[in-house]
Amino acid sequence: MKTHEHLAGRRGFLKGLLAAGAAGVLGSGPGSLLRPHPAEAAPFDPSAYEVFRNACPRNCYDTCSIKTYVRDGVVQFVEGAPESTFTNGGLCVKGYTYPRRIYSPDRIKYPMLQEGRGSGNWRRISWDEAMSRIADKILEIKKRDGNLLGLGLTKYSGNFGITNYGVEGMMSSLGYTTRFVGTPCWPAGIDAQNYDLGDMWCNDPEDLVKARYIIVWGANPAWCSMHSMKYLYAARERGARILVIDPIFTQTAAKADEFWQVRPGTDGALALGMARHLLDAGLVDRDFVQNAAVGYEDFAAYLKTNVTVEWAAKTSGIPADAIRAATEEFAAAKPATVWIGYGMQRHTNGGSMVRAIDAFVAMSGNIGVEGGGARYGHLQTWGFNYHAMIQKQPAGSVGVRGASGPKGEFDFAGGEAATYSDRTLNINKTAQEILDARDPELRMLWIACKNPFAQDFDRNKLEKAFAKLEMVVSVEQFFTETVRHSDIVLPVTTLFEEWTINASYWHYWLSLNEQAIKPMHEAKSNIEIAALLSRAMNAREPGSCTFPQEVDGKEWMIKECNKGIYDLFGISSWEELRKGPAKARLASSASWHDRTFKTPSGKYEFSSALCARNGFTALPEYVEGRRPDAPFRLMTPHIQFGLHSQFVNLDWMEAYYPEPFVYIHPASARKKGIADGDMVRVFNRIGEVRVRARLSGNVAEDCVVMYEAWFRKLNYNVQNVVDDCAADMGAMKTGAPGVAIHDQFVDIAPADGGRA
Amino acid sequence: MSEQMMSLRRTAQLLRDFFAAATREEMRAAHDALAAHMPEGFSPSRLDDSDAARLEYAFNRLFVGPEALPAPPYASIYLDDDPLHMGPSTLDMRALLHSLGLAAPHGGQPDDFLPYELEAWHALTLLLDDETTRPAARDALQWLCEEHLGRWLPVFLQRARRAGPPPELLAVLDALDAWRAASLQRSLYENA
Repeated sequence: MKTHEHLAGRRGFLKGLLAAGAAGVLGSGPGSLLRPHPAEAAPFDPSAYEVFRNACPRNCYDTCSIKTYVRDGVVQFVEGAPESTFTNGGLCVKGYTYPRRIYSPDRIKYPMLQEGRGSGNWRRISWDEAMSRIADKILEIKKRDGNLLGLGLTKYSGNFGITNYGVEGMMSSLGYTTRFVGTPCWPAGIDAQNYDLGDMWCNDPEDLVKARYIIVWGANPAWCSMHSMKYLYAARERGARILVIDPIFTQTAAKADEFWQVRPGTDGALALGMARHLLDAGLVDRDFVQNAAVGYEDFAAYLKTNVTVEWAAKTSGIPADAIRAATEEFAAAKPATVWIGYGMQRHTNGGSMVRAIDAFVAMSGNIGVEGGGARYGHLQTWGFNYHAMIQKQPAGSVGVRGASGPKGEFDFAGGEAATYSDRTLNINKTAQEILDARDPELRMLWIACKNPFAQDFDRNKLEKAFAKLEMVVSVEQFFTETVRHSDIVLPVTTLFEEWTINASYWHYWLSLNEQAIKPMHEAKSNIEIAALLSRAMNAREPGSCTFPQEVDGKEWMIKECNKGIYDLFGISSWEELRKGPAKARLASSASWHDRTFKTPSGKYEFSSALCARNGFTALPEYVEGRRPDAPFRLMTPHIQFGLHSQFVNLDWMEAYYPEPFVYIHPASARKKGIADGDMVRVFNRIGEVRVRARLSGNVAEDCVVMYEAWFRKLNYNVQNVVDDCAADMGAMKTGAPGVAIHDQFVDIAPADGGRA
Repeated sequence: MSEQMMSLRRTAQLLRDFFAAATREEMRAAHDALAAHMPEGFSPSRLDDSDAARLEYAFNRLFVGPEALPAPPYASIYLDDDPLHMGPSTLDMRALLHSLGLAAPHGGQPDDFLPYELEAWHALTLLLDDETTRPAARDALQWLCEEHLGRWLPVFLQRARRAGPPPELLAVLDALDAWRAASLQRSLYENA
């Protein structure tokens, strides 16, 4: 449509209406929707922007600090906050789309009820009616079972703003319920680092510039942490060498000095081979392994007996000469560091692989060193009050007998002794857990900050599991496949419509998130929804819900802050964050800089008795990966234009990335009779995906790659062919083992005659 | 005041009620009132329960959600360079409403929601009755009908019709189209 004439050029009659006192003439007519508004004579001022502070709350390394420019109550544009040296004034391609998310016509606008799950027959209902139906169901479950364990919550990382832990608080305020615990993201690596170091604690990523040798191992920051790339470039300008180790030739690999296309699931063997060469070449940091570590001699003996560089080369596919040369360069460069990516631990042997890399870095003497470190992540800056999350169960609540167990890596409530606790089910086996839940069965599921049909594994099984549920409530912004499988959907605010506060699991900045605009349509924040539910519950059965019935988002954000947070970030009040994000005051940019580790021994543990007690080997020994049951390994990593199922549905992202592909090596495609652009079936024993093939030398001949995403107009879901096979570690710190997302195997064949 | 104007005002109010309806009963009441006001094209003139359910589901599928909407009833989606809410066209309507001493009832509901625009048209026609407000009201109506509603409603109607509405909804779309065509007659406002 060509541009039409806006009122900007036709304001004469507006002045005329004002001058004539039109406002005084009109009264509210019958059925009037519009409300009286004081007549405004103030001239339009295009420079009158209000600036708000926001923070991207997604499950992303970068957790960007955002400056939001609002005019006429409308977000006009966003930019990266220049005050954060990490965000450095720029957002990623996804971040710049935020106004498109707020104002997308596709947003869910009102509470809606589906008459017949999956029927598409939706009715608009009021918030009161929605809460009445939900409260009635909760009370019915409680009456039927004598407890609320039939009510489940699945929530993860769709919004990491701290007040959003009020969803967990809402569940606690109702009683003891069922929680899906664990994380599909990074649990095996968390446990691995806890065995080795006593905690997961990474160097400040901004000190990557100090490194002289950087291995990016199983991470793709060019797509997934683009703000970290400037430190890699700066390090290289200062003479550092960058090696990328990845099964896929990623955009990060393209920027590196050297790329090793490792055979997936063999990174542990490769790291052990590098460790063996440190030993053979006399490059071990004797001071560290003798004075700051325990178990080194046992590990050295293991290496001598079981590992050779040639074995590592044969297993991993990386030539022995390259392993030796890189190991020597890494050892000679001080400091040197490894960035351990999350993809690398999404294997049945993922935790053991992280432990092997930790050991290699430790032997090289780069733990506790600025510019060094085995970098994985941290939760050092998350010491909030969790006021929204910590709610008391109503008196007389009944649950699972015994003290509460861990509820995930972001559970900061502590495991206080209690007579009863919640029932915990493994988030990485959501479908199976729903199907298997007994005494009582899982009857009702509340879904917030999560899109199970895009994220949870074995989609076909999930469909069967959802069919078992009596009521499904989704709290969402867009009509996802999960909403399609829901009975009630509640519209939730975007980050610009709510107050909260955000920290990162990678960098050390703290950001305020102000409410920049009024919520669109009838959207409410998660804590406002909890308050409404509490009102409905208490109206029916006084005392049945302890969550406050009125909340003020700003007040609740303030309640998350404490002196510890203020001291850590060197601020006297949260209000200082209105001037810009603050960075934690660190004694050193290096984690473990004083070599005091949180392990039982207080030292770095090459040999971990705790790890052995938990059913693994005490030493970071080689563990073989999952055996293939189909010709191709399938990898489903993150796309540049989305974050899990978020962003790809927005129009700007569709312009960049209109269609998914399966990427296959040309030689493999030839053998299968597949040409570039052909429609193919990617299939295995649990399901199939139909998608176009793109021939690419970036993937190995025995691998295919499909990037994980949700397209609003396409029936594409990688979880059709990703099963719920567990990773080795993760249960200790996150409540459930991780999942072997990259240990999946498929076959591929032309579909629909191939070229469609 | 011409009979045609009186009738069009009534039509605008009924269309407003229809497109603002949140429940099946509100939708049915607005539909039946429209059918009584302008019987041509409405068959049946009173919806039974099954018709009303079908109407509600279709109405939500086209105009409310939660699925992506084939025909969002907001001007900015059609008039602005970017098919988003709260764009320049929304702010045009906000400026017009404010000059009338009116505002959308909720800060987050776009000012260019079709029912608000129909109500604004109705309010402006009331100002034609007063000679002090008449000249500005005429100018405003000309802009509203020719530059604004007159430009986005045809696209909206086209998209809504293509989305396969059931007959009871199609009848309302036809009524809206007829009202749109009539609202474009300048003589309607000159003779007021």
